[in-house]
Amino acid sequence: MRRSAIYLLASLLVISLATWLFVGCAVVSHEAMSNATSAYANADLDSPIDPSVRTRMEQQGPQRAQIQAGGPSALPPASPHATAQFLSPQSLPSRDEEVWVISRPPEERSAPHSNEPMPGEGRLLATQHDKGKDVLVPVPLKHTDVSASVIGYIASVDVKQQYQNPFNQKIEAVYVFPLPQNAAVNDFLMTVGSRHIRGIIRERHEAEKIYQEAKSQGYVASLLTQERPNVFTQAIANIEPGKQIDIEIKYFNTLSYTDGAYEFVFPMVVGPRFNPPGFSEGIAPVARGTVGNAGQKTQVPYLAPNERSGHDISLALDIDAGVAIEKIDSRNHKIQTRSLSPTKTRVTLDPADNIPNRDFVLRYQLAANAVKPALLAQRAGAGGYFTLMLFPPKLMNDLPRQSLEFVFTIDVSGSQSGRPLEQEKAATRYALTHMGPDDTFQVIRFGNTSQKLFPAPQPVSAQAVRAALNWVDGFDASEGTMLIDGLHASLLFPHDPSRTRCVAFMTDGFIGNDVEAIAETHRCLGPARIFSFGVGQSTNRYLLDGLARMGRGAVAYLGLNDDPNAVMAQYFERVSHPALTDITIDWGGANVHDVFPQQVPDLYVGRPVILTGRYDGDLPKSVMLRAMLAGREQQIEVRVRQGQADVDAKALPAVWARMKIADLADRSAYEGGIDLPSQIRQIAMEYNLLSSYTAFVAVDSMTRTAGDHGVSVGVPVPVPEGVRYETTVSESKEIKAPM
Amino acid sequence: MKQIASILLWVPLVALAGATVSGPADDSPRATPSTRSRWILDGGTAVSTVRTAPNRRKSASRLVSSFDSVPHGRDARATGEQQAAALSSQFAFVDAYIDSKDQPLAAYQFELSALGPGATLVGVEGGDAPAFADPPYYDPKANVQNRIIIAAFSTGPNLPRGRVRVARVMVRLTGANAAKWSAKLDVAASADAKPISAEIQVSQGETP
Repeated sequence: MRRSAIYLLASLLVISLATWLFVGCAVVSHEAMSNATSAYANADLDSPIDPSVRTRMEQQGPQRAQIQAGGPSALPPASPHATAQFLSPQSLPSRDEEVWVISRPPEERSAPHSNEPMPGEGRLLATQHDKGKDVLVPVPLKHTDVSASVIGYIASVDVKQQYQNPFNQKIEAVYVFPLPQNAAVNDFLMTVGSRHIRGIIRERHEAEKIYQEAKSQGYVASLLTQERPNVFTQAIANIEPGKQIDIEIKYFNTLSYTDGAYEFVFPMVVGPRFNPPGFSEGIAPVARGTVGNAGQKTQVPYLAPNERSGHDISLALDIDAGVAIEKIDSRNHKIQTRSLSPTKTRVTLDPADNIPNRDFVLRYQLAANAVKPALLAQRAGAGGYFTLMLFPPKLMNDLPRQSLEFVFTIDVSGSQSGRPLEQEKAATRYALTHMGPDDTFQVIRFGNTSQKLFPAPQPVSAQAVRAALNWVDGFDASEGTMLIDGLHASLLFPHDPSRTRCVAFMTDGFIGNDVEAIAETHRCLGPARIFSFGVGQSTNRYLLDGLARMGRGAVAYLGLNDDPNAVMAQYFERVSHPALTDITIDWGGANVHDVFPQQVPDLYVGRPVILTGRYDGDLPKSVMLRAMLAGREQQIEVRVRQGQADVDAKALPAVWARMKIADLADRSAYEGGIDLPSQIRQIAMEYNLLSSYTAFVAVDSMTRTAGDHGVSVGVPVPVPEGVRYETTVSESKEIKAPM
Repeated sequence: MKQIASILLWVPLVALAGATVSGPADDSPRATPSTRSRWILDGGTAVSTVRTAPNRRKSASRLVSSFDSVPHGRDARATGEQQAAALSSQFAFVDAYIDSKDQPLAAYQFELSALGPGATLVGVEGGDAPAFADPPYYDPKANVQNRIIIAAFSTGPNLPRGRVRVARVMVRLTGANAAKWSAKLDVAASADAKPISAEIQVSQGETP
């Protein structure tokens, strides 16, 4: 008994001594390295392992703590990674190696708490203070390089994102970013060092599972998912300190052709979106470093107004128009152009204009009368694919319109505060003063709720117009975005059978429930037409296009650099002539099928539409379009042209599949009883396309990092140009449901 | 090169759907007059079962390599979370080698299948030869969980000859059974788009 007591006492003494020694070492290491750590956190992102930092750390010899690495229990799990920049890659300390322990606040020391993907989540904070200057925030996304080419009206775009870990521990980078709403994303590459790995398309659930397993086992892996047709999440697991991993995404999309000009758009930032009460499938704006409590499926962290990241962007675009290019106009960026021939031009983003906080919008006009309706076909096996751009006939310009019932619906939510609201007001002022004497009109504003100016549409009179102008002038923008309320107010009141209702719906579309809004448009439209106006520099084009598509109208964009009078004048030109309706196409006996969109949209002046489809056998030399114009049948012949460029062979099937998916997605929003998601999944898998139900995953089985999988770091982005951070990100998003 | 691309794109893949597991000489008619080799990796042993050159067929069977197809030797310092995750799945890779003997290899297409459940393909990487360093393309229509058709071609000047690793396929393995792989070379072609005699071999590797 006495011997046992002695053993027990000795054991306790040994344990106490060991504990004291360990704590002492840890304290020494914390104090010795804190200066070096903060210096590192301030290091330039371009050189994440700052030599001066390293030198300073090496100069602190007397304070260094030397620990005998005795296995996993001797060090916190993440310690070996913190030293990775000083040791050979992927190496772990042996018993004789010197180990640098870099201190971290306790909350940063812990590993991620869940295996569930939390897009946008960031727990690794880098606090910096620099009064009077923008604060440079280290982010894991260093650079985005966009390389695009346009042949005809199909763009082939290659987006390369360079991720680099500027922190002192292993991370998972998560970046929520936009692409065009009609992008057919069909290739995905991950570059680790000099090695390139092509990702595989999988069902989304399976891809997420594979990614999580690879992440938790320490493998370098990446996952690309689609949150909306124009919002995507890129996650890269196990990026070690100082290491770079590149992601390359390729897509095709068709360009729009509006009022005589093609338009190439590359969106650069997701705008801060409002999510209505009770909705959890949205995209939430959160302040950098506060991710995790927004209650939405996807979260986008935003930089504060005095913060900027080192993330920049470069863009190069080659245009091969086939006919002479007459004019090129970049709406939001400085560009450099180099003419390669009368029909070919190279456009590059000016290096001084490289902050990704607004859409890149390039419009180019072709020689007059050079653009004609054409069906572009590409053979594939026993049949093929085609796209068909239908142009409104010039005859339409000569026909007068009937009386209209105008509804002007204006978004007064917080994201419109400032210049966007001024643009809305200016456009509305123009519209109110250019209506016809036989028209009627109504003005509606929507924010937390919707309000109408008049109980019912009023005939155009000086008094009514003056009341409307005064009301609109008094608007300010600070509320939520109950957009569906605005739709209801615009559509759900008795129709005037003698006038077609034209709803001019002005918004940036920054809402999380955009899919619901598109479906609601289909349900509530009736005989009305919706003409959506995207107001701002980085609008939600998926929603705005969807409102116009479901609303059987057309979309227009009013950027902060655009003339609101000119944009509204084009709208009046569009509605001042009857549309080409009830369009059918005589395929000349060819076996044409799967044409999308299934409901051919009406054609308005200045607004062609693109159809895509498949055929078996051969196509005739031309097809015949039949439609009604002001009560009379019209026929238009369209020539068939076989695609020859290599891009056509790859692009047309992808474009067709993407449009089919969009059509199915629209239907799934308002149709029940059909398993449309499984049809979307099937077509996406077959054509290697990203969709809501498929995802790209790439795992590098050759690169397994040691230790836990590191903290998750969301890539913070700036709010779009012209959008106020104070009224979109920092304000409470919780509002009460309207009574 | 267009001819090669055409071959790679439009080789009737449907005919390949019934992947042979092992056994006799390939006497079934095929749509493409190309070289075919089949390798069955069974329990760590790779065995070539069939090799058919253009215009002639012959059978061959020989031992190629031996390995343990179940990943092992995981990092002893892995955390508990890693160990728990590893119990349900493990990641490895399969290297594909093509031996074109003394002829320059400009294009190839092969099918890789895991025999039995528990294998998922999670990435494709290029090979050792500079001509095939870029990751090859896969046929999405034939992309199922455990089977993939991979193709690449090169228009560069330095085409490889002899045995060269042309691709590396990243895989996830689940379950206790060892993975068995079947590789089938659909076509190998020279720079003038003519099929050439070649063999394919695959071997499973583990994270270094």
